[in-house]
Amino acid sequence: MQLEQLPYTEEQIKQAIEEAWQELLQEADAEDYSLEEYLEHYRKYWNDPEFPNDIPEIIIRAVEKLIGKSLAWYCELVRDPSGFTGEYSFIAVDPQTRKCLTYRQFTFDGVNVHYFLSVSGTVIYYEDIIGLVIKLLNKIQPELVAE
Amino acid sequence: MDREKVLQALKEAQAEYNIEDLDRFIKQAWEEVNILDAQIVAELTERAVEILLDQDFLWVHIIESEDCEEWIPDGWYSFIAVHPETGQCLTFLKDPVYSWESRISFSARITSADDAVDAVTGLAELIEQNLKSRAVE
Repeated sequence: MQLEQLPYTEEQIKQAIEEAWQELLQEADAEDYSLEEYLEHYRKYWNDPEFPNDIPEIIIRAVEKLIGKSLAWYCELVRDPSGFTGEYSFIAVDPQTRKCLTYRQFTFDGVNVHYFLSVSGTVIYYEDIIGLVIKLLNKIQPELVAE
Repeated sequence: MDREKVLQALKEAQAEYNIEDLDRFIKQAWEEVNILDAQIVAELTERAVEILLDQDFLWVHIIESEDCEEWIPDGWYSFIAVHPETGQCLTFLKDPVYSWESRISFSARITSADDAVDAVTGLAELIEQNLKSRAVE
């Protein structure tokens, strides 16, 4: 997960995720239950249109807490014909510079340039949330430093 | 944005996709809930914007749906355009009242050729604004 390239420890990342989760609970005036408990329901009901999917909000808030800056976001819940796949695709833009922070281009073969606008990942378990936050930070943090 | 130019751009894009009757194609995609045709409607809209502004962009489009499980399109599309060289988001829109309420996508309902004209016009104008603001900075 290339955590060593980031100025955060795994504990700090877990703390940011927990703070984001607690904020959501407070805002929803919901009873106190853990993120792990929520994820148990999430795994059962993620395709239910009535199920409140808080995963993107948790990830976005955790990233913003760690970088200390609010960004503009778009998150797509990736679907196939059978429904939601569990994959999330995030696009982040710095509202000051309007730069797309999740944009990258590279070549696999040294010839053809491939463009990616989003950072994606599947979330099923708690570790997946940590992994996706780290993946986003790995892309966003260097871009913010470069600005 | 000159309506005639928008119509011409749509006509050129339509020809690239070998579509004879654009209005019928869009209405069919909408009425028959055809995801593949809805994809073409989104791509054609993007292409018309590129023809109109004479520039290529990187795109993400989302075919919106009301029903997460069945994925039934509700006629709404969201578009995100990024400049391939600068990485600047060109569909960025800062809320004039609530400064923290920035949006990075342009949404349009496209269920007829007239809607497509409005979508191309709105999208092209937003991209132009972003290109100009970047030039000023």
